[in-house]
Amino acid sequence: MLDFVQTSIDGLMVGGLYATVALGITLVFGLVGILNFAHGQSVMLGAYVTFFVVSAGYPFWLGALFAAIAMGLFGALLERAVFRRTLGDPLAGLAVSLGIIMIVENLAAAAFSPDPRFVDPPVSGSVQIGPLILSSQRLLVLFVSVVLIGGFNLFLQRATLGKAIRAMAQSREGAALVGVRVPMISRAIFTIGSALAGAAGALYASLFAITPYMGATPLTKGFILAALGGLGSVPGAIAAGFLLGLAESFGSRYLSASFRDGYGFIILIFALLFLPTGLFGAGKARV
Amino acid sequence: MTGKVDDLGRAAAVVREPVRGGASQKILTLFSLVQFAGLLLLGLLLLAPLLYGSRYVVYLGTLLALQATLAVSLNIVMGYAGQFALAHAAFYGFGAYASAIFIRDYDMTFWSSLPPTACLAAALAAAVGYPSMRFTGGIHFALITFAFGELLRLVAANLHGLTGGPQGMQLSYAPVPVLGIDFGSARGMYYLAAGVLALSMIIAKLIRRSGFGRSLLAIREDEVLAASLGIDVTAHKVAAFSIASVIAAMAGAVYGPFVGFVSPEMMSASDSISVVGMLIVGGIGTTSGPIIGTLVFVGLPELLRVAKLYRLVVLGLIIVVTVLFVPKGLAGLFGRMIPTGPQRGR
Amino acid sequence: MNRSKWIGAIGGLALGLAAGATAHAQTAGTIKLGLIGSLTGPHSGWDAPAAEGVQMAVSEINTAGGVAVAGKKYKIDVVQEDAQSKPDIAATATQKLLSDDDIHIVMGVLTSVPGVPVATQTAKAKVMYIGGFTALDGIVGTPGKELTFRALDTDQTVASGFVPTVVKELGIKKVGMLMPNDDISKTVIKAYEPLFKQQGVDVAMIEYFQPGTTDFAPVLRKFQSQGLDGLFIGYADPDAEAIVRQSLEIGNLPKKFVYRGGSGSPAVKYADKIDGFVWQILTRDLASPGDDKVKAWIERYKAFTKKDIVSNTYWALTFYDAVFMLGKAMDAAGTTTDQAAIAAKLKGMAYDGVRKMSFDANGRAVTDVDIGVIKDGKTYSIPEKIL
Repeated sequence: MLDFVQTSIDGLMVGGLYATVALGITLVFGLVGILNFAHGQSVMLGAYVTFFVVSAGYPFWLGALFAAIAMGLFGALLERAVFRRTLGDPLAGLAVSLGIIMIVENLAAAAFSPDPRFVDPPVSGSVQIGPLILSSQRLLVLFVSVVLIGGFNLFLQRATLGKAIRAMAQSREGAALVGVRVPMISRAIFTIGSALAGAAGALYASLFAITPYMGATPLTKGFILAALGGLGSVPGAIAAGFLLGLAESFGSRYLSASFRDGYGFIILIFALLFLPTGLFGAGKARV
Repeated sequence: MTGKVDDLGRAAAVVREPVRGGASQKILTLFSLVQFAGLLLLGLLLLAPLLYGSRYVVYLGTLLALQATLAVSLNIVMGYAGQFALAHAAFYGFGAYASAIFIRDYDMTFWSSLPPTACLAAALAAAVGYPSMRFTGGIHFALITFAFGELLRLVAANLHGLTGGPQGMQLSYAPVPVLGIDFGSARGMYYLAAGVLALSMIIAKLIRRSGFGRSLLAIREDEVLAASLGIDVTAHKVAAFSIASVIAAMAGAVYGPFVGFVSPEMMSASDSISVVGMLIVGGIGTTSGPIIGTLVFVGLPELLRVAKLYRLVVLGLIIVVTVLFVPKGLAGLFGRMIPTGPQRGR
Repeated sequence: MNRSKWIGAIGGLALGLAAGATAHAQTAGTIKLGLIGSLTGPHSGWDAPAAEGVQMAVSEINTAGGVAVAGKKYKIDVVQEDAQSKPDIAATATQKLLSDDDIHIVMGVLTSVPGVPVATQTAKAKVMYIGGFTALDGIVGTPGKELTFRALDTDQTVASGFVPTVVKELGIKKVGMLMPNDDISKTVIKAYEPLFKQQGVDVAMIEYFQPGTTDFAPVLRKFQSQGLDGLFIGYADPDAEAIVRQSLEIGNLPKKFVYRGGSGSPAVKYADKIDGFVWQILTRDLASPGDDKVKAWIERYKAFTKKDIVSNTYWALTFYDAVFMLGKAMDAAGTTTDQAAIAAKLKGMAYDGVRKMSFDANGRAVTDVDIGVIKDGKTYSIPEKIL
């Protein structure tokens, strides 16, 4: 029983990380119609930014902040220079993001060397809560991802920009009619999505080793989650994130650990077949 | 078609006859000459590796031919039908594994393993395609094929008894000589690969010219409208996907004896994505686009003497530039204007 | 339907053919050495240092005037190709090297998937090949592979001395093995499990994780409550470090670790929290070198590559020594072009370079290894005499 609870918590901890990445993907696709396969690169770069900041002696939270800001700028740059031109053509958006992956990944490998690096986490060891032994850093990651997700939801509900995004999600034309400046919102969405990815990268770096090629995994999982949750649906992405974390955790613990990524794929395939609009989606973007 | 044509009319026109603009009639005659020249050059291109003594060139040619086959076959489902199939490398690997397993466990020869491999690949494609292509929009299909491809790779890596697990299988068989030609030698393998490529191009061309192909194009333009014209959209999409996947599997069957080794790594999502990249750079939906794209993608790193990693950066730049500024791909730069892109708002 | 763009395509291919087929004239006094490896892609972490080692050795040899063979001096010209971490590209790149008749020896590749085609093709072409990957164990010494060598010790060789030392240092009785699901692990387990049993240690469980896993918590939980007192944890530094750290965080897991890898860095940060960590230094200890020859080599390496030592740098040292051995074999055989003769001389040769290295009659390397231990807060190494 205890083992079951522990495994669940393990799953939730990792799930928070996944959810943060998925948020960026689902937003960008659902609202701006772009399948940005290069999203994983924002995670990777965010991880490296954190690594360099921490290696230079600064505290971890500063590294994470830098990562988020840097990746936000990166996202804005990508949007303006590249994706703006592919609006409305998912094929082109997909294609160009493939090119971006190749550029970013290989520049990173050349600049940072392919050897895996570790970042010293801000906290270490474990805490004991009753019979449960929980890794302190994972708890922190869970906490931070929940804060990020919660903060983002708050932003959507309260802030003007957030409301504009929700308006656009419901109806692009309608939003434009009431004065929402759609191009600006698109850029905002890219920026925020990328910043979230950067923050996720920082969190990722605090737990696991980083390499220039690490972008592939969060990307794959992110897309699974975005699709599972319903493209464009924020609650969907969040729920899917935690669900995937749990599935992987339980699958690895009680079944075969060498098939770890497979559990997510199986779930995705079945979910898409039977729930084509995802867990929460209604076929349209919903926030 | 002149003047304002409503969407329905346009789609109907696509179904009934190939789109032809008035002004391009003259250009077409010119193109016919060039077509002939192009055919000649293609023949030379295919023969070139055989004229050269170097084994390396033959190997490179075989590699290019196999990769080009993947691009040409993917074009059938992505270029003609407009569906993003992101599991192509998985079918490539599936063909290699299936053929190898038939030979090892069922005492078949290389040639006799091809039909069952093709059947299995078709069945697999239909099984994956049918449920996922029911939906319009293609996103579901894209994501499901993406997930499926990775799943297939993981399965291959974990079924140690059947597939040799992550270490893959070392293959020591070669195609049995047919008609006196030894397909097992380096030259022979090249003939085989070039033959498969030529066959796939012929199939693609036949599809393109047929009613089936025109229906696919109509589906690419607008699925709902195509359905309203009486086309069984799902059946057509699944058929295109199956054909493409079977060709990929056949190429995979040739890959086996060529490299002598199959491993789950050849089925990775990044390889599937690379094939998509080749198509895009070359020009999706065009005839020679896949060939050009493959030459650029695979051949360029060979030609560029720039330091290692930067080659791929350059390739990435080429992709970005091509997509943004030359959306019809390199083939489109010279070629006839073919209606492109699934949903350009019109 | 238009094919005029194929003119451009053919032009490109023709250029490529011309470039590829340009014959390099072998001037008198030059030896061409083929070097292949994954310079790009995920496998580059291992192959790049090996390439560096070769380049470094060649550079030093050339600076000293060249290799002395039968009284004459020959410079070495390295021809390098990228395998791109893929087997089909590796096969084609090998053919490129093989198309140059002046290349009689090819070196490189530390990973099995791109490596196997390289080994099979060089053997078919009767060109000598010195590689490092694990699958070579099953290839070296088999019929038709008389010119194939593996520059790294086999697991069998290392394990036979390693396991008894491990058991003695850590005092373990019941271990669990946690390995990535790949071919190297299979070889490792085949070598180590019987040896553990011989020492009276019970290998109670073996679990595989998916390569690339970063979150080990779920699979580590399988090892809890099994009465284990030791964990055998794979062969890659990032995996090992993650496993050590995460097992400490999860708790209820053994704190003694056996590592089939070459560095103690996975455990350094946790030295005061664990009860023991033993690893194999497959060349000489680069992290805390006691030997002057090794120290000097490290300085030369840093100067040559402008890079710092990382855990994979020991492959650079391995191949560095191998190049010098090659030179000696050529001298002993009196030829720079007869690979069969050179190979024959290399087999059974013992060499005292930066480290002691030798090849057995099958072409397998046999070298001394050191065994590193972190225990009771102290770090030290024990030599394992094999040679």
